[in-house]
Amino acid sequence: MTTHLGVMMLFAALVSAVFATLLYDDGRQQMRMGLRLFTGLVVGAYLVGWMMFLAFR
Amino acid sequence: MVPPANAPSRAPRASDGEARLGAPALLLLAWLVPGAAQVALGEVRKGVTLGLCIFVMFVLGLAFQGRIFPFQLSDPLVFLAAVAQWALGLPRLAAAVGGWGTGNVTAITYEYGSTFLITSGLLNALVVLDAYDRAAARTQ
Repeated sequence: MTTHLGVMMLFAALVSAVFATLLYDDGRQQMRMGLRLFTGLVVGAYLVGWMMFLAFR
Repeated sequence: MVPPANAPSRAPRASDGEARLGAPALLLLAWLVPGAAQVALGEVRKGVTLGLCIFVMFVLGLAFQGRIFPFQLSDPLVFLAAVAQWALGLPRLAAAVGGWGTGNVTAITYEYGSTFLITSGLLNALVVLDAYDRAAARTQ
């Protein structure tokens, strides 16, 4: 779990859970928003990581 | 006006948590124990979820050998990190008393740990604002 990807996914999961819980009261809406946030954070980190790799190599 | 179906729900519910505690006590409780104010307002599931996530984040930050930052005005970033970490009441206080979070710069997870600790404080600041928002909505 202490790989870069593992820690980043753990961070994304916890942050997504807090934001989704704060934004919605309904469980289904919380789950949907949580998954969207989690996907956005992980995919976003991947994209930014690749962009930085390609820009500064 | 009818709110859109996917709008965040902020509808006040019948609860006397705010009336029993008062807004200042509720804010203090929200700051000290993450999610406790939501529980006091009758939103047990929400409060437990928020509290658990933030507490797990704080413990992981310590386990990853992150650093608990001091109030050091000579370094603005360290000062801001300390402010963010102090947004998490009791756990941060316990860390100060217990001498936890000295931070091991050579650990591979040091930066992650510090980020977890700072973020847990910032998330608790949002939780405190949410508790205030909900308490204010109930009094109107």
